[in-house]
Amino acid sequence: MPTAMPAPTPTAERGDERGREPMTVSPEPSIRSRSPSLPPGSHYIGIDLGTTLLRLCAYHPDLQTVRFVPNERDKRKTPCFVAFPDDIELVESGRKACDPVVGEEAQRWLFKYPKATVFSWAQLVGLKFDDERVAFYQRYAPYRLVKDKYARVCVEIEHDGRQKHYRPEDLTAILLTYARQNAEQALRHPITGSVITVPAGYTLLQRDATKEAARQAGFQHARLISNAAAAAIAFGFDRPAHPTSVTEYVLSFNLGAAHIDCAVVGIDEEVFEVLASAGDVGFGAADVDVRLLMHFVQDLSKQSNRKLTSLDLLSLRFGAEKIKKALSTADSISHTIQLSSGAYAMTMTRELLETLCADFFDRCLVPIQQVLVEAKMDITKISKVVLSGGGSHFPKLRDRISSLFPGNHIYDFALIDKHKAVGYGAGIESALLSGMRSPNITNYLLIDSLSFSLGILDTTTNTIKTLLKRNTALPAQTTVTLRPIPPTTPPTSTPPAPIAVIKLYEGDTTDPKTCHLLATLSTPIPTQDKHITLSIDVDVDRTVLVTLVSDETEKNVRVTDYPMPVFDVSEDWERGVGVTVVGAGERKGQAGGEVEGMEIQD
Amino acid sequence: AERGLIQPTYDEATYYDVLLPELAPGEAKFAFDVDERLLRNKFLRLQQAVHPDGYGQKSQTEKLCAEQQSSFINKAYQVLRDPLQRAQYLLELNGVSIEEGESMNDPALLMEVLDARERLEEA
Repeated sequence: MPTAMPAPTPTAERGDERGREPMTVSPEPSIRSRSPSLPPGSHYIGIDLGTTLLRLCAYHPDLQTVRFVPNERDKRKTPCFVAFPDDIELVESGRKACDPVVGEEAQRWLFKYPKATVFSWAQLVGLKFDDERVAFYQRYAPYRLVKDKYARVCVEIEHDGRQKHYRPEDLTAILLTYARQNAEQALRHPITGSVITVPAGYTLLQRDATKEAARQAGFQHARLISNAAAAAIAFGFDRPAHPTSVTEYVLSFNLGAAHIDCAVVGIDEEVFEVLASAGDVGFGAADVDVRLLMHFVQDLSKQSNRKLTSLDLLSLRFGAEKIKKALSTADSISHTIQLSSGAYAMTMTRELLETLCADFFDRCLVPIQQVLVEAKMDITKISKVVLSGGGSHFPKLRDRISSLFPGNHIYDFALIDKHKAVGYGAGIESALLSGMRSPNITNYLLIDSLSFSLGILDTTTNTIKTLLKRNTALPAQTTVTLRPIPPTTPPTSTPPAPIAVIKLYEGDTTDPKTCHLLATLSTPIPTQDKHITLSIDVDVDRTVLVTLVSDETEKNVRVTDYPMPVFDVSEDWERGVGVTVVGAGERKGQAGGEVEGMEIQD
Repeated sequence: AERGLIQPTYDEATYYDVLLPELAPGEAKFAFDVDERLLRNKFLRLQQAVHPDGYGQKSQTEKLCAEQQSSFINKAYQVLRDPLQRAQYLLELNGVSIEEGESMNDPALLMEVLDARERLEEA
């Protein structure tokens, strides 16, 4: 396979598109390549980072399989709990009061220090405090959520008589640090890279926050892949022999505690292509617990002398989780939950649970329909449905999904434990990034795609023009030409040089209010009749790079290279708001339509 | 395939040159009919060779080249696999630009235009 294949450089292509001489802007790798190259021999590890559980997975080239790495307690799964208990027991063991404890060790403090033991925070990562999902979360959390100076959500922890604020990603960082230390101890070598599974519906901001957590935890590089993609990879390694020349299309459905992930994946030998993905973040199997919890509360309200404390709510919540799991296999279960007002004994049937959750199942099916449409995939072309995630094995849900696909399409894992499918996929991807090769992964590759469209604000219509559509394969690049028109009324005095302001959005609608503003870019407007060329590059790590070339005179000047704002920059984003809007633009090229309108600030 | 030295790209290549070289015999004359399986196969084999994930532990320059080539192949595949986009691209290669505002959303009409042009050229 010749690797020196012809393809134009993006810069030259800009010239072609406009029928002019190719421009001579040469790429500067130090600026343009964003994700780090780790030195040869660096080790990556796969991390199945769920809402409630974390699994560490490493590829073993000699055994040609993924091994699950034990934590310090020799368990292959770690509950996602972080606690900051001010307990004399810990102080006596030499631990500083502010040191967090993680995993099982943290879980055992839940009822003693409910205000200092955090769980299920993954769904809060990257959210603004005003988000309705934050309010919903707060209703059932014993600790307080607060707003930081960037209006993002933080968890308030009381220890040592003082309140401390932790961003959700700080908690993830604590958990990932623990994971990395466990892995280094078990594998006996340093680990500098990670492949972390996240919900498919995570926005760039949520992904950035997760990457920031990984950085804090000592990983120089973190590749994020969706749970659904990871499970599809596991399927590819588990499936029976398949004719190598035929693409197999699978629908991968992952139901976690606080997310639904769905993807259509095309599998050709060892190449996995994510054709479309969709998800629901902040909604998942834990909503079943909440329904059960509400049912219990209602039931208890009928009994006299029952007053529920916040600890009781916590007991009911975790009791509900146990009952839900039991009802995945049993038809009915009797269970007793200890409350402050005495024992609460109840019997729950699967039938009642299904009644309580009827609309829950409906909502689970929405992303399935969505990805089939977006992948332009006829249902008959889907050869298998791959289910993963604790909630996906619920019989009623299985039936509902099964009924969408004629014939028996639900895949039962043969070699891989179905609960470990997501971790398995992350482990395989980590092998690729580590540069490992073994007979069963000689040419493995995952081609992932964008989760949400990227576009810029067309200020003449106040709508968003999509430049890169969702589900575009990564890496992706596109170029558009913007033509500003000078202000219609000439300024009376000598104004400062006009500046074009370009706003980059992430989202799937044309309404800027429902999309996320990623960055506001500005560039001097060239003299009349000249273009501004805007290129967007999204690399495999979904780092977005915008290049503005303002070609005043014949010299080409790259005005700015604007990487995705680092997670901490947010005040700056609104720069350039409230300016006069005039202008029209034109664009000739393959992808996208006309992008018109620029804001002109004078 | 061993991932060898990756090279910078050259300027004038079309999507056909990269993904369907057998349909791009030099002259600006490209076929509309493509074998989808052939196209997909070529796309996947090329990505296996140039995808940046295979260059994670190589130099920044090599990684950058891989990134540029990989995104060009992605773009080429996206256009060529879709009949409407492919037709628009062909028109463009033939110097027919579709003016903004009168976007061609009717594949049948587009085919007709293409056919007409081909007949004209052969005449």
